Amino acid sequence: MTRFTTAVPVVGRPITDTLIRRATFGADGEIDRAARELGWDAFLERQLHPSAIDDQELDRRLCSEFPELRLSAKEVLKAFEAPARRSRSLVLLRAVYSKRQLFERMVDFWNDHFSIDVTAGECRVLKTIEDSTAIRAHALGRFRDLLEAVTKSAAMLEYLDNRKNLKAAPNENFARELLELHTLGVGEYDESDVRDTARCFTGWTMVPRQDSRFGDFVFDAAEHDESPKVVLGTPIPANGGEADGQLVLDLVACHPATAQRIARKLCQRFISESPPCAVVKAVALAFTNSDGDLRETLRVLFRSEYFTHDPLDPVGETAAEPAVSVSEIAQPKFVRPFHLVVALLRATRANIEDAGGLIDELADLGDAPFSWPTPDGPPDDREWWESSLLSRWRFAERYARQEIAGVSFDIGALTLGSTPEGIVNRLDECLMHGRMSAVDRAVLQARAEALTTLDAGALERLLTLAACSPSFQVT
Amino acid sequence: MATNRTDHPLQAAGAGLSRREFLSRGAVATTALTVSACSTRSSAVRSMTRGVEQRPQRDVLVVVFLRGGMDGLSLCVPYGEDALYTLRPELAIPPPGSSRGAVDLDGFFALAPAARALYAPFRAGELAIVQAVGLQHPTRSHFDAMRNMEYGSLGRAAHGSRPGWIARLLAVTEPRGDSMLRAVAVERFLPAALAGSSDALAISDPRTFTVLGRDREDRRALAAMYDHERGFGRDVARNTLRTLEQIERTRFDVREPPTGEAYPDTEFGRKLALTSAWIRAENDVEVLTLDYGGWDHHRNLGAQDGMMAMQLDGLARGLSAFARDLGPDLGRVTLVAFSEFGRRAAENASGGLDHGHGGTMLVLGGHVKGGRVHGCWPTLGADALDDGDLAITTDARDVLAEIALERFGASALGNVFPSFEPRTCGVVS
Repeated sequence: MTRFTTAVPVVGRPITDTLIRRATFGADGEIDRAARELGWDAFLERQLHPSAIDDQELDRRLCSEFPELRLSAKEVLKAFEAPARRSRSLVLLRAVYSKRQLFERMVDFWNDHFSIDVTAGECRVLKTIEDSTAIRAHALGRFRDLLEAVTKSAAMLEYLDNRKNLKAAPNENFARELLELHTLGVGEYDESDVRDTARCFTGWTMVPRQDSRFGDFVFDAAEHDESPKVVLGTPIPANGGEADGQLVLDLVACHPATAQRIARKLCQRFISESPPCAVVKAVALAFTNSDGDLRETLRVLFRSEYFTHDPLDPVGETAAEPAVSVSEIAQPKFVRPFHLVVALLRATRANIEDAGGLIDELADLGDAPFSWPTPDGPPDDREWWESSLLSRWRFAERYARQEIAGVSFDIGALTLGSTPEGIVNRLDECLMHGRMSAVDRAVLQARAEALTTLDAGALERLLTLAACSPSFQVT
Repeated sequence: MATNRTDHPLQAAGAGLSRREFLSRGAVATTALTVSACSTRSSAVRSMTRGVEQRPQRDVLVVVFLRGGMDGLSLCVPYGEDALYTLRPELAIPPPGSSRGAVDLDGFFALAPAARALYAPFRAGELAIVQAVGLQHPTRSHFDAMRNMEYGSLGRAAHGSRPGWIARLLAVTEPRGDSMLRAVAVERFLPAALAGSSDALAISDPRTFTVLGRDREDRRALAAMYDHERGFGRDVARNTLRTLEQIERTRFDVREPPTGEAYPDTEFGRKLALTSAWIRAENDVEVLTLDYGGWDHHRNLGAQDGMMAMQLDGLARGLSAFARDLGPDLGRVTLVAFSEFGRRAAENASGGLDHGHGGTMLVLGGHVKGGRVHGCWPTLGADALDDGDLAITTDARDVLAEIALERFGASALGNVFPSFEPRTCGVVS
């Protein structure tokens, strides 16, 4: 049995690397230093309150390079030839350079949860707007607000066809995915719930592209089905207008199945593919008790035993006996290609002039942002991602050789030291935060010793091997 | 074949039959009823007992997953049924003989004009179509339905951590050669149908399947790191590294078909060209899988000149080019293409089709009973529909099991499709 505690304050416990690794896209030398200075609690709280973190440097850059952040959909449509590619670059730059790392991890989580393929219809222009007005606005806010903002966003109205959900014969696409993917999960509703949910959302549409207010949400009363409906056993009386859809959002946002599902997905993302039931339960409870407050929900997740006890440092620095068995919590988590790429960019303090080349690499790795072809979003499924191992190695090799257009890094700074051992230590520190496995270390060191001169070419090969190693595929 | 929809014999007979007394169709309706998918389970079981020994030569199996829920009624149009035009006043493809009408196949079904490239292989007997096929599970969820197809069993409980159906097919058959690579997904990732197999790899393009080629020592170092790693990536790494050299040595002749039209300039077209190159490279790969997504048309279906027409065109020209590219090699290939479900019989108000049930399967190869639309047509009558959707009269596993047995020499079908007793459907010989 596992025990789960939320009430015990962790003040005074030493910072655990697990938190830094799991709550961010990887250490960059700066965030880990800040975390150590702040201590465990303060670091978590700081990351849970992103607006208090100074991110001006990045903001200035994005402001000058991405005017679409201030433009309307109509203006973006006119101004850019490849808005989808730009939206991908934008999200990559933020993941790499933002100091609000947990926030970016959550934005990534919600962009996957409410997955939209930017190549679909007009989503190429509309996704960036949804990313800022829905996902970023509520990533750590209340789930009900997030759900409504996404539902009303032009990108989602376009992607799942609700903008053409007409009373004569409703379009069920959005209604089904709202119930199946965004909230309850399959098995928690039946086909008549799908049909009546679709009817509740008839008339939820947007301003068409001819208009200057292109993409704004509008409720078209003339297209709303005003007859009575029943959703999840709750009668919805006739003539409810826009309130029908709002009522459905209320019903599903606070539904226990939604709490359980969101909690499980969060635990899968931040803890492990098969998270301990007790932790999922506690996180779901926090979601429900806080009325879907995502900050509170995450606080409980990150204060779970998994993060407060360091499995690789069992000597007792982390206070009491572990209540969760080490084997259960010690499993490293295989990372997705996007995370792998961002982690390598952060670890090597990369200078990204133009993210385009990296976006091509991500596409090759099957994980470019906003590219998942179906609305279920990319899976947190190790077996799936693992099956593309070779393409991860190829990326590491190309990156180490500085063959990717638009990005560079200083390999000298990464491999300080002139002895094989010194170089391996430095790679371990930068890439794996000092967690390189004994096997990887031995192999890498033997390889370093076998290389006659430790010139740039040799350093490049050692970095390639380090980035290809099992120790760098996980977090 | 001349036809008059109003007095088609099957149309007339259909009115009086209950839903269980499924109509067959075509000129030989009564015989089709007894020899096709409606044959009894006992005869099927008898035929399934033949073992692998009698069939040492087996086909390369190509499995195409048309992800997204392909509307089979826009591909193989049941124009002989008036109900189609009542249910889909905007979207149904007009019957043969009309302006932009469908291309007749047998007097009842016709090919969408966008799929006319399939007409030649159909007439040549290389292509069979199975209508009203799928899995008898009430789900209308893409993701549940895809899992059902990939695991070859129904419902989440039945899936568990079990390997996919193709992985199980590999497990119950002896390898054909010495190659360590028995199955290839022409994809970036291994699909669930192959998950759990140590004989399979995802190789999106074998010509770029290489890494750390400068120095053998680097590869050895990588192998050593993964060999000692418990868990993560160990099996994939081992399989990848031991396959690299074999693949680097193989010449992959990716080309256009020697005759006729080229492969379509689409991702699916490129995957088919690669698939053909794998088959012709004669490297003992036994199964190839590929996906062709983009069939989820809830709005603006456009079977004549929109999205669906483009999809169908890509499918039809792709499969036709694949058959011509293989030429005589098609004789040792069986390709099967299917989707997770078909779409709603009636159109919605946004010119699209929501998720449905019964769908359409295509089987292409040298030993296919082609030139026929197989299966029992359940009709589109109001009481014949399954919750508004085309009913399923042929279990997709009947067709897959028949191919596994007849063309792949798998006898232990109970291990491939657990708790399922396949029926003969006569789609391959």
